Order: sequence, then C-alpha cells, then structure tokens
Amino acid sequence: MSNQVKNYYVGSWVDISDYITEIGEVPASLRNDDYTLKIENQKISVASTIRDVRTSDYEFADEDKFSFLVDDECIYQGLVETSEYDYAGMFFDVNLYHALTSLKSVIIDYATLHTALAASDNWWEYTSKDNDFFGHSVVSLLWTLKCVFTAAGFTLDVSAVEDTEIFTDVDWDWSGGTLTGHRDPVAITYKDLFFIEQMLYCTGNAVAANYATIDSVPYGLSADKVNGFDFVSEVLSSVGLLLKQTGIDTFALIFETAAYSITDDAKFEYAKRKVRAEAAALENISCTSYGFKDDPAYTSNPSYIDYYQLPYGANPTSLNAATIGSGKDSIPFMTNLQIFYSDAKNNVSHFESIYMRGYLQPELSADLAYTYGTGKQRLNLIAKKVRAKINSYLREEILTDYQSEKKTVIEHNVDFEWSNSRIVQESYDE
Amino acid sequence: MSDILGTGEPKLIGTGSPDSTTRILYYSILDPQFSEKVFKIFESPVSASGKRTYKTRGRYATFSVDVLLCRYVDNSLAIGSLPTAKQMASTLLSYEDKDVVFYPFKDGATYGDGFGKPIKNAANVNVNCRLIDVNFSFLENISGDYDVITLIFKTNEFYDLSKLLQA
Repeated sequence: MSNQVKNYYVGSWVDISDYITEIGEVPASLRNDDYTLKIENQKISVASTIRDVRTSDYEFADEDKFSFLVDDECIYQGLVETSEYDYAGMFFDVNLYHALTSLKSVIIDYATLHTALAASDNWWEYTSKDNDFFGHSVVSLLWTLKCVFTAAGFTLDVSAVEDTEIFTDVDWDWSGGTLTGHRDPVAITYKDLFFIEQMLYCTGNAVAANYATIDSVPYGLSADKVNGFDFVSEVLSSVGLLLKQTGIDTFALIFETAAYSITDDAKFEYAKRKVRAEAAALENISCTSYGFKDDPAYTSNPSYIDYYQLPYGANPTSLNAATIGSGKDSIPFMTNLQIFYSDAKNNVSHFESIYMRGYLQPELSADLAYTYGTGKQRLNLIAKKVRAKINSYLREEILTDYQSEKKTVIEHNVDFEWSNSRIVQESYDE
Repeated sequence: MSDILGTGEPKLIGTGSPDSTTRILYYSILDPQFSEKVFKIFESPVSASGKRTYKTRGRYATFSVDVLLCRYVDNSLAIGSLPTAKQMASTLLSYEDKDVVFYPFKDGATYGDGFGKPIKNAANVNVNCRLIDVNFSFLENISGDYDVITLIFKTNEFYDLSKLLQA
C-alpha cells in the first residue's frame, strides 16, 4: 500500500509526502445516515523544508489544493483554510476543508446554470422550451447534478446509476397520437427524473415565480436561493443515491453497498453499540413539503404562452403545502424541491413534459419505491430520512487493515501512518 | 571487511554541500546499527486466539565511524595522498549537518562496481545519510598522537538491507 499527499503547485500535482510530519486519519466517506452529504476537515503538518519543492513561494496560500491518495486512488481532496507557521518547530500547521465545499459557491439559479444546462446535445438531458409542447424547458435531474459539479470545477460520473430502474409506473398509450388507455407498467430509471427548469430555480424559495422575478429583487426573493452543496445533499438523500470520490476532482454517483465484513482476527480495535430509534414508529413523524403540487403542464396554462409565464409567472404566488403524518417529530424537506418523472425514453427521441407521468413527493415510508395505486409506484423522497428516524440500528467501530474496496459506510478514516482503516458502519433493523 | 556487504573502509560522497567529493575514511572503525525498526503490534481484542498483527513500516540505520586521526600521522599502511590529521578533521567537520551518500564499505580499489554499495531504499535509489554528529575524542592508552574523530550518520529514510548484499 502506498500513501501519498500531493499539493497543486505551479500547474501540476507535486508529491510532498516526504515533507509531511504529522497527519491524522484521513476521512474518506461522504455521507450521513440519511444520505445527505457529509464532509470533514483535515489537518496536516508540513516541514519547512517544503521549500525544496515549492521554490518560488513556499508558503501555502488560501485555497491551495491538496489531495490524499492510497495506491494512486484519491480518497480525500482539500483546500487550505488556514496555514500557520510554527517558527520554533519549523513546520506549517495546515488546516484543510473538503474540496466539495466549493459546491457552496454554486448558486442554483438561472445565471449560474442555464447556459450549462442548455448546452447538452442529449435529448434526455435537456429539452428547450422551444421543443416542448407546453413551452417548458425540461432538464434531467442527473444532468443538473453534473452541471452543478462542473460549475464547482468537478466532474460527476452518473453512468453507474442512470439506467437503473427505481420503480414501475403504468404507462399511457398514445399510439397514433390518440390516448388509447394503459399499457404494461414501464420501468422508471434515474435517467427519467427531471426538473422543469423554471421550477428548479425556485428551489428553496417560499414562493413560486419565474427566475426573472426572483433575480429582480436582490436580498429579497433571491436571498432564498439554495447553494449547490445543500441542493446536491438534499437531492441525493431524496432519490437514494450516494457520492464517491473516484479521482482528483472527479466523483461518481453510486448505490449503497453492503457493510464491511471483517474477521475477528483482523479487528485491531472494536466497539459496538445498539442505538434506539429516534421515533418509535411512523405515527411519530410528519413531513411538510411546499411546492407546486399539481401537474404544471395542465394547471398553469395549457396553451402556448409567454416564456415568463411558465410554469411560474412573473408575480410570486404562494406554494401549496402538503403535510403527511401528524407526529411531532418533523422531517425537514427542502422547500420547492420538485422532481418529476417521465417515460419519454419509451416513446420518443426527445424529452418533453408532455410525457411527464407525475411528480415525486414525500411519503411516510422507509421504502424508496412505494405503491400508491393499482400497479403504480413512486419514489419516496424522504425514504432515507424516515429510515434513519424510525429504525434502531447497530453501530460498529472497527480498526483494521486498509480496506481498498470502497463501501458506503458512515465513516471510513484512513490512517496514513500504519495503513489502517477505521470504519464506522451501521446496520438497521429492517 | 564483510564477505556479504563489501570490503574496504567506509566512505562518503558529498551531495553538493559543501562539495560532491569522495572521502574515504581510512584508518577507521565502523559500528553499524542497521535495525532501527519502526513497527507496531496490533492485537485483536475480539479474536478468540488473541491474534496479533505486526506491521513494519521499515527501518532506519545509524552508523558510527571512529576515524583514527592519530594514525594519519604515521600512515603505517603507506596510503598515498593521505591528508594530514588536521586536514582530515577540518574536511569531516565541513560535512556536519549535511546529507551525504554513505558507503559502509567502499569495496576496495574499484569501489562502486559490484558489492560495497551505498545505502539504498526499496526502489534501489540511494538513501542519503545525515551526518548528525561530529565529535573529537582521545585514546589515552596509546602513546604519541591519540586524536579520534567520531562521525554519526543516520539514514534519512527507510532502507532495504538486501540492496547492500554482494551481487
């Protein structure tokens, strides 16, 4: 096992492992138990002899980039938050924040994302309003995530999940341009989840309005815009996907894996505890979501209308609120986060909101796909939050040899000095 | 001499500061300590057999060399171009706190070829040694000149002992 610490200096990544005098355990995991993103800081000490390689400027500047690699695989990437020079000890105490913090600089709004979103040539990623029957610009959820990552300087690979079936839905049969009834259930994949672009820019906002209205009042409606980190975090939790670092500046969406199975002999330290559920039962919880609860294609204005009228008008309107459950333990849900699904791939070679089959919403269930009608399923947007809330679980902390296989455990900290993995994993009583 | 590691006196080669000159440590006594191992024992608290796992990161070495300056005066082996005791002392002092390439055995007259090699790491790259200490001492049980200069070298990184073996 070969461990390396690299520093981005004068246009290239330089191996500075020889100059690291102290390094704690490096956090390689990226999630909380409800699938929201978790990122951690990392501290290292670097000998002053770093001037051997940083010849023109050996002090670390704000946001200088570091990467931590095991066998050439990047497990952590950070940016300098503070760098203090210890004159007596002749080393730099460098505090890094996780590179994904850069997502917080990306604002989910028209100015930041529209050009990138509209640049796709793939019909399933972006369909302009000009090609849509109802005049909506439609953008896939996965493409939106990719663009948010790109805006932060990263690459996101969605290939491992895009064609995976999430649930099945009963399809309408439009054969010959006429609605002739239902067809066999069709599989909805992650590729089929989408936003209506105008509604995307309202995410986090307490009202429905088109982007021009939101942007026209600085520190007013625009103050409620969400940043890319919170957006990605909420979306991943909502649709049941996890993030994995695959290289320097590159990430991928993956599914939850099984936990590690470590033999007793290889457990250098071991502790376990049983954690009781926060809420005893589904009856104890509730969730309120705010958004456009009806099919925008049919209720906003079914005819060709001005761009600024769709799907949200120039005048801000209040949102519909929907509360499920009556328990006092409330599960938070991002305001105005509205995800739709379609089966356009089964019908056409382009993505129109006319093929929209429905919208996703929270459900009081720990199942990601739940049945809500005869032969119909939907993705439950709070499944992972409910799971974390109502289930007791076993929490194990294990120190063992370095585990090169990346499993989606709660914590995987890598000891660079002794090449060990400190793992914290949870198994739910499901 | 060592049948497996090399023959002849120890030597050092400067790495640029103060120079890159080869210095053979004639009339010297080598005291090598090859095994400053960095290792840790991990013991499973869960294992029924009390399984222990040993992890060795590598090893450093320390070489103590007593250069008998007193013998530079009589030069009993009639070594040609031998510096004076004072010149040698002055030269060795100039390497204090400098990195050098250190050969425990210089490998005779054709040193550098075959066995008798500098300390190398697992990648077969020379491992520099730091001359961390230079001290004078005096042998009082012999008559005449009795100056000794003691050099302490430490490897700057882990090394692979097998790389020193005679080919």
